[in-house]
Formats: sequence, C-alpha cells, structure tokens
Amino acid sequence: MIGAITAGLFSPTSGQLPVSGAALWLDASDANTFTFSSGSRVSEWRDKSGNARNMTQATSTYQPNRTATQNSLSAVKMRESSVKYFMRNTSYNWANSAFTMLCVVRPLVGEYTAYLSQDASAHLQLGQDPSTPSVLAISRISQATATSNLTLANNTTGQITYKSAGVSSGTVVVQIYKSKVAASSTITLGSLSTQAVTMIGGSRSDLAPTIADFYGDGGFLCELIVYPSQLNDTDRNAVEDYLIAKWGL
Amino acid sequence: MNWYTFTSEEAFNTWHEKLKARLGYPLPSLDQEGNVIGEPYTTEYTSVVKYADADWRTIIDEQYAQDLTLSTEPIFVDERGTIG
Repeated sequence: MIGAITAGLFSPTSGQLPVSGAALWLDASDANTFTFSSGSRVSEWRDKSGNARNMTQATSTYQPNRTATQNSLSAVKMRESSVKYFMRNTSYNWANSAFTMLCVVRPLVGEYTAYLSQDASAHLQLGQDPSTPSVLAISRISQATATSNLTLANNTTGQITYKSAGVSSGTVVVQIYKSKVAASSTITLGSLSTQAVTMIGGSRSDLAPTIADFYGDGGFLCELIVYPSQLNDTDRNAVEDYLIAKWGL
Repeated sequence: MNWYTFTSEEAFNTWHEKLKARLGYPLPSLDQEGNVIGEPYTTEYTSVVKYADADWRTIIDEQYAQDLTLSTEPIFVDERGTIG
C-alpha cells in the first residue's frame, strides 16, 4: 500500500520517512548520499527511496555546491553568482501519473523557479513565478505559468507541497500547500507533454550553460520527496510535519 | 566565473578538449572525505550554447580563460519573457 503511515518508527532523524512508498527522496543532510568531483561540488545525489532514481551532473561548471546550511543541516546551493546548477535523472517520469511532491527550499526568485521539472519546452515544472512577492506556481516550460495565491518570499526557507493526479490528456490540475496550508484553489495548465526525465535546479539543459528556471543566487534545496500517489491529508501532514521539524521551520 | 564567446562550436570543442586533458578529466568520484569511491563520473568541464551566428557562449573560470574573448551572459526570451 502506498502512503501507509509507518507507525512507531519515525523521528526526523530516524533515517526513515513517516509515510512509506516514496518514489524519490533527496535528502541534502545525508552526506552518505552524495558523490563529489572535488570539495563540495556534487556529481551525484543518490535517491534514498530505494528506487535508485539518482540525480547526476557530469559537467563541472553545473555541479551544485553542498555548502548551504539550514537548521544546522547541510543543504545544496543551486546557483552561485552567474553560474546556474542543475541535476537530472533520465529514466523517471514523475509527471505522467499521480504525484505528491514535498520539498523544503530557500528561493531567490528572479525568473521562473523550478523545484522539480522535466527537461524540455511544453513539459511540466513545479516552482515559483517571478512576480513580487514570488508566488507558488506551476509552468508549462518556456510557455505559460499558472499561479496560486500562496507566496514564499525571497531568502526565506519554506516547506511546499504540490499534489496532483498527474498530466492526463495534456492537462494537469495541481493543489499547492505551504506549511500545510492549502492554496485557495487548484491551478490548471493544458497542452502539456511528459517525458522520462526528472530535473532539479532547472528545466532546459539544451540552454546550458544559461540553464533556465533555476533557484536564484543564494537559494538552496534541503529535501525533496515524491510519492507516486495523491497522499491523503493524514499522510501528507505527517510528511510535512517531518520536514518542518527537521529543517527548523 | 565569466562568460566567453567562441566563433564556432568546433573552436570551443578544440579548446575544451585541450583544457580537459590539462586538468586530468574525467575526474574521480569522491566521498565527503575525499576518498575515491567509484568510477570517474565528471567527464566535462563546461559546455557551450549557440547565441547567434559565430557567437557561441560558455562560462569558464577566469584562471582557464587566457586568450579567450570575454563576453556577457546570453539572454534568451521565451513566450513568457526573459528566461536566462
């Protein structure tokens, strides 16, 4: 059963999630899940879900830097100065069926920020819109953005959840939550394609090194979890509580 | 890090291959303590994107950019506006 609460085994530092069945789990605090090319530059960020959906970056200048800190835990910078970082997995399509994506991020939004995306125009990304204040949003990459009423201010660490039945017949409907509070309504985008590419930190590797849809300078990623289902409120709140407690929000 | 321009993709590739050989690419895979833990995975130093005819832009650490032509970050515009 996907999404079952693992009663009695959970604490923010137990090494397990409060809800089993994750499809992808990236935990920046766990040094054992990283491979570096030199110093703190990340060449591989391994998936803790057990599904081996590891994120990789083979080009030095785009490798994220594990030098940020949140609540005394290590986090991963996705941009420094004019250099934009990203990582990909080329065998995982998270968008074509139901998903719940929960993350802890600190953005500095100047463009269309991608917390989780695919890697081509007209594909789905989950992130923020560069309006002021920055609003939580979804995008059809390079083409259109649909915004919620929720915001996450620049240089502020927040817990965000995106829940959806997935892209169906080119359309997606997403409910966004910030720290367990739901947006006032779902948001919808059409004319979408999907692909078996998962990307963090950007959405257009064809534009590298000018990779689009990045976390702004000083922004970072703490943890990102994807479940291959729409978590019910009890399970969603359990994972959100885990993230909020662990990262000191 | 700065932006530099090449007149063609071939010119970039020639320069890039020489730099990688000089820097010892591919780089080994290391753990947090710097111990080698796997096969070399980091195979490229940087990449290049076409911005205009005879204008291929890349980002490079200044220490490796002797004799290259300094440029600026290319700005691409999509249907929503500026994206990078």
